[in-house]
Amino acid sequence: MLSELDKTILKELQDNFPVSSRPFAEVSGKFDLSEEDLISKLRSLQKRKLIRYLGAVFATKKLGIRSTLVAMSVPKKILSRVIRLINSYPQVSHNYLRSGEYNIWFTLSAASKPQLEALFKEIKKRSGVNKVLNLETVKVFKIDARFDLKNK
Amino acid sequence: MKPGKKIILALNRPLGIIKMPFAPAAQEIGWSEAKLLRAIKAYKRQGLIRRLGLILAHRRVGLRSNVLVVWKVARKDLVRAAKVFQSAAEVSHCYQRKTCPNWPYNIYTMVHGQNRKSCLESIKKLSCLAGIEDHRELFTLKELKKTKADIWLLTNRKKKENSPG
Repeated sequence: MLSELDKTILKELQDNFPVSSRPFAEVSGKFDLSEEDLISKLRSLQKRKLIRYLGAVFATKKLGIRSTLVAMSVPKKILSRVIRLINSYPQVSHNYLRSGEYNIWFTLSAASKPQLEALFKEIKKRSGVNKVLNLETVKVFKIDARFDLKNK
Repeated sequence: MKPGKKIILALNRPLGIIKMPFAPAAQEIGWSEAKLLRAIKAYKRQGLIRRLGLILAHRRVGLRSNVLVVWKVARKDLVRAAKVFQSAAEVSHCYQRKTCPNWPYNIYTMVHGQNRKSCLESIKKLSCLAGIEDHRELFTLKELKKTKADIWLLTNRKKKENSPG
């Protein structure tokens, strides 16, 4: 499990990662750690797969990328084939099995709206699934995959 | 100014947990580290880089239950409901999406919690605060794919090259 110190460190570095030459040296003092100790702690948390990623997340929409959420009602018999098909597309970044009539939900991105539409049609056709929803993004109100680790 | 190919390629992948994590990317781009740091700060200010830092594996940090909640929100209630969802710590994502025939839901929220019960409690609270009753809970049963979008491929490849196999 995570110690209180681990939680404090993870929270700080997900919320306020310094954009500087030696970011770990800059924040290590806050935790009464040396730069080396902080780095080795983070590496061990990464090894334990608590850290998914360290780096930048681009605002894809501002870079011109268009995206949509697709829901499919896939019969159990063809489920594994359809999952393989969907996951084979590099334009699919997320794919989930969910409870409910529509059991497959994936995000699809492309450089333009016509390309996105063509890609959607292609996947729909290749999957052979009839009940498919193309839930185009109208507005993003919130994207904030930072988590409050306290009181958990 | 939008970042060019070299910068996107160098920054759209993990930084190392090392003393100078930005140095290898700078070297790859052919910039001084100081120039890259200035550029990153500018991209952050412009909103081109949404955020920079650690991304945690939420399933492993105690948030084991995840549910996509879809809401049917009337136009007049949109702003108020969105405010509620935006300010809720349990909600990581909130999108407005087009509806489909037989699918009237237009607001999509990802709700996270320690377990199914805590998610359901959060949803009840959100429903009250937003004043929206009509919703569906679509629990995550399995993560089938989760990757970072390949920005360079998405913005630059020609259409016919897009499909695999």
